[in-house]
Amino acid sequence: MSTNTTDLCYLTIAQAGPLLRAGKLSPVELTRAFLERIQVLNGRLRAFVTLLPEQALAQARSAEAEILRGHYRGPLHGVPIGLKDLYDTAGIRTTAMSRVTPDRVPEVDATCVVRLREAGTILLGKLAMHEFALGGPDPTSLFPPARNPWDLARMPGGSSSGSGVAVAAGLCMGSLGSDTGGSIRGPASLCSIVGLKPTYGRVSAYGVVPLSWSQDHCGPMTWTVEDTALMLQAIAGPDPKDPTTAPAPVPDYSASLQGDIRGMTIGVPRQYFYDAGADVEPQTLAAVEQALGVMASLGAHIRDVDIPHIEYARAANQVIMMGEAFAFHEHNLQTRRHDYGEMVRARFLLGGMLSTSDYLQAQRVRRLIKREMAQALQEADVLVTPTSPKPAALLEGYDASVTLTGRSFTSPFNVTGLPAISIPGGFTTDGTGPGLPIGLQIAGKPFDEPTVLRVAYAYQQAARWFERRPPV
Amino acid sequence: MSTHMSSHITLKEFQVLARRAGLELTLDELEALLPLYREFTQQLAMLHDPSLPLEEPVMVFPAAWHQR
Repeated sequence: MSTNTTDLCYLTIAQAGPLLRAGKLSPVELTRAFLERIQVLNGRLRAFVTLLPEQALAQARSAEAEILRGHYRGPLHGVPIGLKDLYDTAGIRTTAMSRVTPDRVPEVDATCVVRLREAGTILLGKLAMHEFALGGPDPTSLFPPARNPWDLARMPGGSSSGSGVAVAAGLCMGSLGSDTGGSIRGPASLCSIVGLKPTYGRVSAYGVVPLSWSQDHCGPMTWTVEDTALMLQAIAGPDPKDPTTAPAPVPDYSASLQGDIRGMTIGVPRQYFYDAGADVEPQTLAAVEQALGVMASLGAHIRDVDIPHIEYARAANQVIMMGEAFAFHEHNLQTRRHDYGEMVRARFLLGGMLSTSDYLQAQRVRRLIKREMAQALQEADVLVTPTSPKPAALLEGYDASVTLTGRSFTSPFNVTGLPAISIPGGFTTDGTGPGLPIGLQIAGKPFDEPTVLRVAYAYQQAARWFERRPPV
Repeated sequence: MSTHMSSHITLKEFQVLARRAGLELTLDELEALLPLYREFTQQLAMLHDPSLPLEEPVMVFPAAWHQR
C-alpha cells in the first residue's frame, strides 16, 4: 500500500470536504484509495461482508462530475462510507449477519440510507456485525467475526463491530451503526473512535432490521467528533415512515462545536459507574478520572450526582430487548431456530419465556430511571462515565454471558433514550505494545446533542487521542 | 407459574414455559438453556423488587386518529 493511499484514507471527513469541494481531491481517487486499502486489509480485519467496488466507483464519478459542474451538495459529497449490514439497501444484500436471512435483498432503502445518498456519500459496502445486533462474536454466525485493529486477537466490540473496525482501520471515512444496549458506543470505545447514540426519535429507524423497537437507535461512527456532527446533520430529523421520530428542530451540530466548556457542570454518577469494584478495569477508571481533570482544567465544574436506582437499568434493558426481539423473531424461532447462531438463539429463546409481568415491570423501572436521570441532569449539563467496564477481550474463549448479566455502562441510556457519545479516552499501558483503547462516555439531556458534542469536542482537542492510529 | 421467582425452576417447569412460547425444544436444548435462564432470573427478580418506587409503565396508547 502506498504512502499516498494511507494518507488519503487517514483524512477525516472535515479535512476532505474542502479539498473535494475545491476540486483538489477527486472522489474517484479517494474511493480507489479506500478500495485498495480494503483489498489489502479486509482479509485480516473482516470488517466488510459485502463490497460494492463498481457501484462505489460509479457513484464517485457521478459525484466528481456534479462537483465540477458546481453542484456541491455539502460536506459529505464524495465521502466514502460503510453501513452496518442491517440497514436496508435496495437491490443490495442485507443479511443482518444471519443464516436466517443470508440472501435477503430489500426493495427499499432505509431512510438513513436515502439521506446519506442525497448528501452525496459513496457507499463502499456493508459491514460486519453481531447476528441480528445481539450477542457476541459468534463463530457459528453467517460470516466470521470482525477483529480489533489494535490487536487482531481481540474482539472489536459489538454489535456494530465492522462499523467500528472499518473506521478505526481507515477502511472508510464514516459508518452507521445501531445501538440497543451499547452497540455503537461499545465498538467505538474498544476501537478508539467516536460513536454517537442520538436521542431516541432523533434519527429514523425505518428500514433498519429491528432488535428492540423501543430501544433501537441509529447513529454515526467516525474518527473525530467533527465528523460525527457532519454525519448526524445528514441523517437527523423527522420521518413520516417512522412514527417514533420527533418533530424537534434539527440544530446546526457543527456550529455547536464552537465555544468552550467554561462554567459547564459535568455530572459524575459515582454509584454503579465508578464504584464497581472488580467489575471495572482500574486503568479504565484512572483514564476517566484523568479526563475529568482535563475537563476541569478547561473550566468545567465537576460534580457528583445520584441516580439511586441505576443498577436496575440493565435488567430493564435486557427484558425489554429480549421480549421485543422474541416478538419479532417468533415465527422463525418456532420453525427454523437452528438457522440462528448459538449465542443469539439462546438469548431470543429466553425472550419467549418472559412473562407479561416481567415486561411491564421493566417498563415501570424504565420510567423510574428516566425520572432519576432527569433529576441528575438538572444538576449537571452532561454526565461522564467510562463507556466499557474493561478493554477489548480476547476473541478466543469469549464468554457471551457477559452481555446478558454483566455490568453495562451504556444500556441505561438506551432505557432512557438520552443522547450518549463514546470518544477516545486513552489507552491501557502494559509496556508490551500500543495498549488497548479506553472509551469515555458523555451523555446529555433529550435532544441536546449539541451540548454532548461540544463537551466531546473540547475534550478531544485537549487530549488528542485521535492522533494515534492502530498498527495495521 | 411466576417466572420472576423461578431461580429454582425444574426442567419440567422450564419445558412448560418453552411450550407456552410455542417452542418445542428437545431435552438437550432445554438442559443447555436452563443454566442461562437461572442466571438471568437474578435480573428478573430485581424488576419485581417490592421496594421499588411505583411508576406507570413507559407505554402510552394515543386514541387520537392522527397519532399512530
